[in-house]
Amino acid sequence: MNLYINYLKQTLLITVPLSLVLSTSACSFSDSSESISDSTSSIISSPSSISGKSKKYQNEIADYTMAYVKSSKPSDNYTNFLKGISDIAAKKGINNWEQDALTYMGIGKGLKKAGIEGVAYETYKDNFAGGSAQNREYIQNGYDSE
Amino acid sequence: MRFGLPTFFAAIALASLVLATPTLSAATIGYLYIEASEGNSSGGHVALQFGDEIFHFQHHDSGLIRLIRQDQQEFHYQYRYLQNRPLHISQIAVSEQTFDLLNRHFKLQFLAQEQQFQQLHALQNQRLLLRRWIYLKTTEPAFWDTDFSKLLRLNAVGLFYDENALAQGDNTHTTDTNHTPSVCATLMQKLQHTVALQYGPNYLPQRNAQINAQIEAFSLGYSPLTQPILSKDNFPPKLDDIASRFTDLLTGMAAVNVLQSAQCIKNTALLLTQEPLSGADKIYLRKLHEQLTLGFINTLNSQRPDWGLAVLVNIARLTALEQSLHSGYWVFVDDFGDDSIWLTAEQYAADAAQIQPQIDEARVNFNQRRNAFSSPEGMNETDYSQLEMSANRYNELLKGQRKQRLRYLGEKALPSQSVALPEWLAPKLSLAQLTTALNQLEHYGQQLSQTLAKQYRYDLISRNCVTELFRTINLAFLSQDTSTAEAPGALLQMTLESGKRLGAYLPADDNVIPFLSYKTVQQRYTVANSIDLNSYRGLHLAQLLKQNDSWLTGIRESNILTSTLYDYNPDDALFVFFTDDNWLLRPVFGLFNTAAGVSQSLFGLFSAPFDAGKNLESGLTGVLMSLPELAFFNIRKGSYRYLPYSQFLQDEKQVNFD
Repeated sequence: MNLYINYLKQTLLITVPLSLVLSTSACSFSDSSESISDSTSSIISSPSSISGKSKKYQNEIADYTMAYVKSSKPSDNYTNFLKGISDIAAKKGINNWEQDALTYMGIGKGLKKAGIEGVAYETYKDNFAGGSAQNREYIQNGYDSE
Repeated sequence: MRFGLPTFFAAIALASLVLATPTLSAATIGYLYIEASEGNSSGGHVALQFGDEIFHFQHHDSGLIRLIRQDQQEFHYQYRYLQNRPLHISQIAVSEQTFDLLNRHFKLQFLAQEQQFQQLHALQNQRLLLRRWIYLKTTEPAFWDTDFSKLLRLNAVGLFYDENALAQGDNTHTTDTNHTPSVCATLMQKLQHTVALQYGPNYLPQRNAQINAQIEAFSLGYSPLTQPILSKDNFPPKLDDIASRFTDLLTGMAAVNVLQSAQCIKNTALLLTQEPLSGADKIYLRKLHEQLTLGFINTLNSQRPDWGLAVLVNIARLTALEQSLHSGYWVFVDDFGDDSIWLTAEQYAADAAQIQPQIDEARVNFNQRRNAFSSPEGMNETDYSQLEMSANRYNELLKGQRKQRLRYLGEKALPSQSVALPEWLAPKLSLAQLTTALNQLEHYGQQLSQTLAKQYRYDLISRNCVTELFRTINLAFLSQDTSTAEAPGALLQMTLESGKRLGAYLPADDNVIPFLSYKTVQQRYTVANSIDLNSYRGLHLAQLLKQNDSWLTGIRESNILTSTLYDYNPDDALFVFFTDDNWLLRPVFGLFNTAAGVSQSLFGLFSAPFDAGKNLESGLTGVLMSLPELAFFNIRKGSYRYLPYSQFLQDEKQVNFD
């Protein structure tokens, strides 16, 4: 018994500090070439349906729009903005996002979330709608729904 | 009326007491603690959950710590199933207003970081492009970058052209298009006709000439030095991304060339299945064909900068639809990305039994998608993308059974096969212009890198996933006009607001260890409820013991040699016994595990010249993971490489049902 207690003391002396060091090496680690998220995204995307994908797409567009307008002026060149929309849409498998009403409704929601009003809102709306009355209406619907 | 300092502090204390009373809760925020595991995080991990979104800080090999946003199910599948780690949730009761405030703050921080790192990435690409253009003018070896063709690529162009087909300016027909030439030729003729009808007979030559002119007159509108690196909300200023602008132009040019020369999709870019189309499938395929044709014609004349890529994807998918309708069997575009993860035939053979459930899952999923396709609601583009992904995954996995190498992971929601940027197409810019732009860009890039490194440098103690989570929570409570936690009055503001909204203020620097932070949250925040969720093995072991609670089952499942719930995963260091569920026997089991680690290390010493030190590294990790077991600590859980996602979904349903 004494032998075991001595053994335990010795191992505790070595392993407790070691364990403390290990236990403080917190956080998930990811290497840049293959993030944990990337490595399983195709498995997760392909199997059984995850409901509310359309809503998620709309919300992601809204969040992106909110973030974009916070760091831009209504008169800015919005090419970068369109590129960002393409990136979000591509991850959802949407190639022709300009034909998708959810895109413009998401933009409207984002403008509302960012607290854009008045002339600034109208300017953003005109720019983002790309000259389409239908898209302006979708943006307005999204704005009103938020 | 004058107040002394004691009166002031007394007033604050009183106010704190009043405000610390939790407000009426209407929502909950989850504080997640994920138990330790070998490799990814030996000290555990923490995260914050808003609805079905989870935010957490992850340590990257760049030495930086970054905020990650993940879907709840994806997160649970990764951590509880693939990494096999139990997860604990404390639900913090908050008002709707506090929920929105924190959720919005985390979202903005995430988006700001995304933008910052995207800009850094864009700067690296621009630097490569400018250096290559300088090299082409000077042939100075110092400007030659070997990773140029790996990093600067034209997405979706690889669906139509081979890697080197555009390298010499030879973008005429490639030879790899002999699958069903008549189908392709007919489609291309139809598309050319549609373009001519919509935009006029000379549209394509005009568009080509316009793009050529744009390339020749390509300008470097780059002037970042006048702007701050990061704004108040951490968003970097908008920059003109010349690499992106240039690759978009060339992709557009490739799209017009594909149309003009009726270039068919490559044989290897199509997936021909043995799955027959039903009558209903054909009806919906024709509807989708109409949708995609409309998309094609609109994107060709779109203002979006990546219109060329969109046109190419539309043409590729239209070809697949035409081929499907022509052959009576499903045909899809190959949607695996250039960065897919491959398994050799030998690797597949070694793990065939573990991969089989994934094949079964892929098959079920493909059938589900097909059935949804012919449902009365029909199908939109997203649904088709998912069908395309499921078909690609299923058919790719089947290659293993035919003893072929296969891409285990890497499908994209949109097909994206790429080719290297052709060098012979370069703008007419002087060496002086290029050098000035490069100098400006490098200066700005260095500043941005330094700023980001300063903001996001990972540190084991002072800046890890726990400290950053609390730092972000606390910063959310600062008012609009208080920019940093160091600003005068900021600490008081955070203390009062956090006390009022969450029940307490928890300083980032006092919360370093995941497990302890979870305990602190339970004690100090307004936690309404706590939930413990088992890992995959833990869950199934409990089920086994429930069905057959004999000591034999316990012994059988206690080690990797006889366990029915775990097949040894080479990603784990070698071990013998599971110690996460055997507290009392942990030191004894730990001895065996340490011995296994030492044995692997000794073997690794000899095999190092042949396996690049893999066994030695794994053995030493094994020893390191086993030593704490001698003192009743457990880190290692054993992980899974091929556990199907459907298993997770099935277990979730079962748990909810129970």
